[in-house]
Amino acid sequence: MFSEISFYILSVLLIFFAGAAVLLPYTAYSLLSLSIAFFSISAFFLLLGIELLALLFLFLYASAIGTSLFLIAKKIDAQDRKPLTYTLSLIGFLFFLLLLFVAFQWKMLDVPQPSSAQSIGEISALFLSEALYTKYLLLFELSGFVLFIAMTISIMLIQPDKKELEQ
Amino acid sequence: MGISLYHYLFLSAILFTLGVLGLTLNRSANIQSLMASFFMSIAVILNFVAYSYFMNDLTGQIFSILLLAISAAEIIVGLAIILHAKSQKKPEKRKAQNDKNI
Repeated sequence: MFSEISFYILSVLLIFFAGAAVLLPYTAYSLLSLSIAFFSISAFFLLLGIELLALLFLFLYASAIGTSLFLIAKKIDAQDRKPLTYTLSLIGFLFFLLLLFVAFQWKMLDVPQPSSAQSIGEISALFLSEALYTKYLLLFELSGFVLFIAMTISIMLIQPDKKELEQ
Repeated sequence: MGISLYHYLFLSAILFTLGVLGLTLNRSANIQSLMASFFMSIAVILNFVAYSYFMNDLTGQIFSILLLAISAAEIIVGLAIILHAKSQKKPEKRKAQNDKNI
């Protein structure tokens, strides 16, 4: 019952804020809705019992890419500074709410302790770590190589030209 | 009535259509269109995870991790292109202002 109610609430949140992120004309508010959509997606992964992916999503997107988007939005339009500070504080509050949700869900599901039996998340983490380094090693390294190339290209693009520096 | 695979598929389809709508409605290339393409990739990731959960096959999660890395690369390059375009516009504006002052 708890999982059904939370699924519907999270899906409504996700659809609403995804639409707002895509269609709102103001960058600051669309970034706020994007971060709320990130949080709801990681909560979906928690609902499915995949804690590893949920935390990966939270750390990679909600923190790293979210903050980089914020910084670039601040650089591009300097007028939107006030809403950006509000949005950052709101994101902290949302993170606290998500932690509460996780704690409540683990209490409801009565996840077994590591000594007694393995939970779904534990089994999936074990399987993922084993399969990524044996069967899917080539794909894993290729994706890392793609990320490396993307990083070098982005650094090359952002670097100012020599002519501009001389001026 | 429990939550089935179809619920997740329907949700990911809605997310994908939102992404397509965002890409088509935002005519100028800005951060919003980047977000729209990102939501499309998130819909695919959600599909992978839902199938891996309901079919008890964990390989879907591996592909979702690989997709996460690739969509992160896409966002990094997109942001760099946007910044590059903005920085290339600035000198032209300065030149125009200087011409006006003269």
